[in-house]
Amino acid sequence: MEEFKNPPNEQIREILAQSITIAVVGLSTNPSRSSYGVANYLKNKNYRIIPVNPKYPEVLGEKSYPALSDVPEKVDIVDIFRRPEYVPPVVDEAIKIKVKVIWMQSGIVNYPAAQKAKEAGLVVVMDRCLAVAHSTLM
Amino acid sequence: MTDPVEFTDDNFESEVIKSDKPVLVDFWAEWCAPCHMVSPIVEEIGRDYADKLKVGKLNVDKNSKTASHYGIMSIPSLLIFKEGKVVDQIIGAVPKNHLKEKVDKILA
Repeated sequence: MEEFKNPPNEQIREILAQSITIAVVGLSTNPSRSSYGVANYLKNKNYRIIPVNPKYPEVLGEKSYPALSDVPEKVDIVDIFRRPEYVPPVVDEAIKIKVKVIWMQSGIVNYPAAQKAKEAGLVVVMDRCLAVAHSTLM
Repeated sequence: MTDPVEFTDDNFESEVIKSDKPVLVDFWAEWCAPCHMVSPIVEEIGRDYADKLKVGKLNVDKNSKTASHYGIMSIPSLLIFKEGKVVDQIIGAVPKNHLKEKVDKILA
């Protein structure tokens, strides 16, 4: 397996500039959770946030979907807030619905899932906070 | 009692890089819940080590130049500077003891 490297900042800047819709998998309704803070930050930066969490009907005023494959619109970035062992099925669905970018938040690393996504032509970012990337690069 | 210093893109050079004492910098943001868990610990460290260590916070949203320069990818990130260089880095919310150990090692 080739060594994994996050895309360079220039490419991440481009991704952030071109993306409109971010599906946040594992988004919580609890404001003290990182997922809430990050999604709220991104919503305030005018990204379209789509919560993906079977536990809630809506988060941050947006309808929440049980799974990525239930989302009825085009998704640019899938931002994952799930433990590493739950990442592979999310990646499989992301490939199926043809998203452009898989983004695993800080502390979330799954090399085989990352490899699979890359082989399917997706851009993969791991172990990095999407909101911090936006805040520091944009 | 010493409150944490507010570090910015403008004062980072004078307050951190050129500081006589080692400096603990807490990279944080308003929207980051784990940052709010760490900040009281950082403040306590600031009080406990008031004579030996400068302690301050840098808001990444308002000071992206410095945050980007140091490759901050997640917050909270605590960086310890000595003589202008990063000598240790702690990512995520950590217990006070863990942070104290790191600081003690650097001050030893």
